[in-house]
Amino acid sequence: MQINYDDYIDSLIKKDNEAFKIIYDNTKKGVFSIIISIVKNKAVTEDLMQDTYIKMVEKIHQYKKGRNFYAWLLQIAKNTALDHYRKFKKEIVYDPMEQSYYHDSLKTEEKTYSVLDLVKPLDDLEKQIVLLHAVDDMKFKDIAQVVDKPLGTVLWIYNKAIKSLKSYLEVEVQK
Amino acid sequence: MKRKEIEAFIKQKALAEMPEVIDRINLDRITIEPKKRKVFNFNFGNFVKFASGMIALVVTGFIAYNALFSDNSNPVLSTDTEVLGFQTITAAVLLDDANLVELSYSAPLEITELQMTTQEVMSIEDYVGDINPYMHLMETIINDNDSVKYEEFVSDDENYTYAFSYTSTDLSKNPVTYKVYYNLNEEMASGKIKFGEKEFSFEAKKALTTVRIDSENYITVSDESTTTLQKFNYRLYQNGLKMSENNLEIYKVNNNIRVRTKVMKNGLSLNLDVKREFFNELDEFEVTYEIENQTNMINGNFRINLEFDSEENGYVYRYTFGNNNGGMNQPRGPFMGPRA
Repeated sequence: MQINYDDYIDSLIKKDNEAFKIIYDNTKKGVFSIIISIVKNKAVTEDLMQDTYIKMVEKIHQYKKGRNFYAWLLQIAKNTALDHYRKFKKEIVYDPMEQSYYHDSLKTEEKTYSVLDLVKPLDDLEKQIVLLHAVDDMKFKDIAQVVDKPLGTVLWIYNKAIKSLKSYLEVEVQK
Repeated sequence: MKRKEIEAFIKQKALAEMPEVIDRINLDRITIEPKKRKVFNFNFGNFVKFASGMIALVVTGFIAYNALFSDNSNPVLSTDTEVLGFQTITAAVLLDDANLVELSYSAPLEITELQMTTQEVMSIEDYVGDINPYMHLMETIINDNDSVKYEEFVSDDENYTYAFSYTSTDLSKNPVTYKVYYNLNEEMASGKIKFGEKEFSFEAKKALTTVRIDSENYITVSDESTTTLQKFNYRLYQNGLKMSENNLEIYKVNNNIRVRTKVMKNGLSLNLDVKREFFNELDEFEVTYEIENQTNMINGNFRINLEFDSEENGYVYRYTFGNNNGGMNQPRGPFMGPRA
């Protein structure tokens, strides 16, 4: 059951650990999904997850009750990951085979998540949509808000992504 | 593999690998940024200005309230023909403009093009590209009320029984003309809007009007008017997908038509209140705006006047911002419409 995050905002402002834990437990899957769709490296992902929650607390007064808190938090996660991307832009290269950006010095098998192998044929936006829906059970209308696309576009991208994953995974499973 | 199996497979893998970082976060060591507040230093001169401003605001508000709400017997659109004409013509303008620009969703994910970070400051100048297309619509519908005419005429198209024309003038005082042809039965009106060489079909049923280029590219207009306000909701579909939505309120102040619109597009909300200023040669728009994304909000005002571009041999929009940030030119096109 989805919780009403607004019930915990005042407690969070008072730095109540219990309120923070409830928010963290209910949002970590989405935060993780967003970050790994942009940044592949394990150590960096952990740092960015930590940074996301710290920023959430730092900027809690910017959140207005009644809005979509989860979408606001995921926007912070996305911006945090993109800031990291921009910072290391010069060292990041685009791999046309994977249709993805990666940090050259960090792209080693043991340092990335194996779940990313499952979604390898997808581009970054497709990964975001598929991971948010599959890992976090997020509704498509909420995903549309997070990725800034109309609902119809999100559904279309999702269906297209699942189709390519079907053929990709069938081959991979047989290997 | 079935879809459910794929989703379950991904979820299982991801949850098994997901790190826990809660132990790395110590709330006591985080400094919460204070609420942003304006600081007022008392100054008698400023106080007098503020008090005068408040009095002016109250008086203006009272006049505006009376102009807006007390004159319910005299709305901008007073007949069925005008209501039908307004919905079909505004939808045709939006649809035509949207059809002339590239689909925004087809752009590849280019990270630098995404939303600004929480550290960056929003600026009105970043959103002029989103606002610009709506100015063509404003040119079509905002005018002195006496200069806007809906006139019925005997249909010169044998396929349609009824016809009327809409005429107004744009900022450069050139005429704007649209013709609407339609048939009527008990359930609905259906017909076409003609302007220049272009034609769009429409059907209007109860409070919903649909204007189409084809079955995949169309706009729906819902009449959401109340007894005190004439209000419409537009939803633009391209290739079968909803691309944007905007609400539009039309009202009169001192017999001049004004428009408030709220555009919702890609997580962005643009609130625009547009007023036309009349001059001898070229008219101008005065726009009050409020723009909001998921993390930030800005507001203010700007003016739009026409500036002649000798290369294009036509006028472009000149945006002048209220914060003295200078200005910028934007194409008046690609709207080549009826006054090309």
